[in-house]
Formats: sequence, C-alpha cells, structure tokens
Amino acid sequence: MTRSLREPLLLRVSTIAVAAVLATMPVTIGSDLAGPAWKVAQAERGGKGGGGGGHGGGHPGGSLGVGHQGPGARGHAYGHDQRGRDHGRARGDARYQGLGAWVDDARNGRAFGHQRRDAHVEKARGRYQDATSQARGHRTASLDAAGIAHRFSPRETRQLIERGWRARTVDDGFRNHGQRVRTMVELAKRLGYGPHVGALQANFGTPFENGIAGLQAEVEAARVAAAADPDDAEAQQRVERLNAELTEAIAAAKPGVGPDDSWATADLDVNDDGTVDAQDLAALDERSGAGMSAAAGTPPR
Amino acid sequence: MTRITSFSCLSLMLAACAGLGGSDTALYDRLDNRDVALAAAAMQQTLESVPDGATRRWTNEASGHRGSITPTRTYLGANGHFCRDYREELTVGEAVGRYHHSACRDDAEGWVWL
Repeated sequence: MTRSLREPLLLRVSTIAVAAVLATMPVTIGSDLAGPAWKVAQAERGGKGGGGGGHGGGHPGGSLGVGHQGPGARGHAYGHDQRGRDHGRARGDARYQGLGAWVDDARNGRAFGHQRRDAHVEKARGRYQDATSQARGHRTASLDAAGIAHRFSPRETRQLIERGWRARTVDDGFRNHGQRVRTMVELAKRLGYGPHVGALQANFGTPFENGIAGLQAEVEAARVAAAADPDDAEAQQRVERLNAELTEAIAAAKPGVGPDDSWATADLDVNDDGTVDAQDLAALDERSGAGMSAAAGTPPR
Repeated sequence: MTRITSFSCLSLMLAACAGLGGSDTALYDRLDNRDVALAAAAMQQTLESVPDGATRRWTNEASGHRGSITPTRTYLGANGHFCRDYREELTVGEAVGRYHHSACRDDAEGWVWL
C-alpha cells in the first residue's frame, strides 16, 4: 500500500475510534441527581462556586460557579457570601480517588456538569432502600441539598467511627443530634455565615461549648485594662497570654486546624444567653418580624 | 504520518479509558433479592464501621454473585450530615461492575444512598 493510500485509511480508522469513544459517553443528560461526587467541585464558603480542576469563579451573591474537573484536580473559588458577611476564599476539594472514578463521572456526564439519569441505578437504589427498610425518596433530597463543610482526614474518620458518628457529645438541650444540626444550620444560614458554619458547630462545638467565647470576653476585658494603663507591663502580658490561649482554643476546636477555622468563632447566639439553641431561631423570627413590620409601616400593637 | 499515528494512539487510549471504572449499571438489574439484601447490609455496615480505603465483601452462596464496598472519602455535608463516597463492585456470573456512589448518614435511617 502506498503512503498516499495508507494515510486516508488511518485517518478514517482514527475517526471511527473517536466516534466509538464518544458514543460510550453521556447519552441522556439530566441535572436533578447531582450528588456529592459532583458537588465536590463546588466550593462552599464565600459563595458557592468553584471547580475541580483549575479555577472556578464564585459569583457574588452566592450564585453557582462551575469549573472544570479532572483527575487529582483541586479547585479554588473566590466569592462573596450572600449577605456579604463572609468574604473569602474557598477550596473546592475535587480530588478523585482514581482514574476509574473520573471515567465513571466522565461517562455519566457529571464531569461535564451534568449527570445522567440512570434508570438502573435509580431502581437499585430503591431496592437497597427497601432491603434496609428505609423510606424511599423523601430523605434523599434533603441529604443531597448542600455542599461540603469539611472533608475528614483518615484519622478523623477513624475517630468518628469509634465514637459512633458523634463528633461531640454535649448536654445541650436538643432532643437529638438531628435537631441540633438542623437548628444550627438554619441559624447560620439566616445570619449569613453559610450552612457549613452551623454544620461544623453542631458537630464540633459552638464557641460557648469550646470555651472560645469566654476567652474572647477575657481578651477584650484585658485589652481595655491594658489600654487604660499603657505602662502596666503585667496588663500587657496578660493580653498576650490570653491571646495565645484563644489561638490554642480555636486550633483545638476540631477540625478547626486548617486554612480556615473562622467557623469556630462565628457567633450564632442571637439572644446572647450564652448558648446556641432553638431560642435563637425564635429570637431571629421575632427580630425579622419586627423589622418587617417597621419596614411596612405597620403600627405596633 | 506521525500526526496520524499520534491521533490513533490517543483514540486507543480514550477507548481504553472508556472501558475503565464506568461499568454498565444494568448489572444491578441482575441481582436477585438475596443479593440486594446482602449488598445493602454490607453497604450499611461498611459505611458505619469501616475506615476509608478498607473493603468489606459479601457473597451469596446460592447465586454465586458477590460484591464489595470500599469507602473512599468521608466529609461533613453543609447540611450537617456525615457523608461518604464509596466504591461498589459487583460480580454477577462473568460480568464485573465497578461503581462510585455517595451516601449520607441519617440518624433515623442509617446510610442513605444518594
């Protein structure tokens, strides 16, 4: 075969091979089943946004930013929280566990921002749920509705398993852990911190439970005293010592050790009674109700 | 010529990748009820008590079908639930499937496959 005849043939074979590969890729595309494997590409903090590989932009106002994914990719998102209170940088932790996971995502379309509605998986999910007596459907949506607040290290995962998935046990007045989580997530959202702050505090302690709030108050008092008498060396030393203790307390608030531990100090105590509970939600309701009345010009009764 | 050869190699590599990991999910339909009970129990037990990277297996002696669950990562969802990504492998006859799923822990219902 001459060269001139061989090249078109090779080109044709290559084209067919590519077409065959593409044919194995997404067929039916839907977007209602986005799960954590896809959601890991969304950076939470500072507005939802970001992506796996390279960089994805989080839009102001918390709108969704989508980046590109790839094996072993880590993305960064920069954005602003919806209420402007939580500006900052977030990391979209989108490392795939291996090529297989990425190929799986590529084939079902998640790697491209869509997910195939797989009837076989849907059916299998239902059968598995039936086999474990789980209520079908209604829980999945609420479980699947948010991004990642924190990724656990292998050591942290072992600790969670050993503790029966109780990151922290406190006598906090909540009926159960679920109620504690729901309340704190709702408070954090409504106060503009982002749901992950509530999720982390629910599981790893509020500033009041971790002793952070107390230390902050002591630091402030010591600062005032030191400012009143700048020549008092002892007062200055006290400020430094308390500051060091505060830093230590924040670092100890697992899993606060990391690039961003601001969740540990976020104040969800709306009614200033030293605890974070359902009363704070009630106080928020009352406050927003009063605000709405005032805005609408409704006379107080 | 070199360009065409490179293009062909790339095509073959892509084709090979397409055959990895993303198994045909129709294999799930071939699981009988006992298989599903074993697989679902294995999923619950594994996600509850096995660290990332470790594998727990199940076998249905009657059908010869078998499978395994391997948690691959663990995280706290912004909704406050503990969640895990995991790999599931199924062997049904000669066919082998490998899948990547996620589940979150609900206090009342255990691990819910998302």
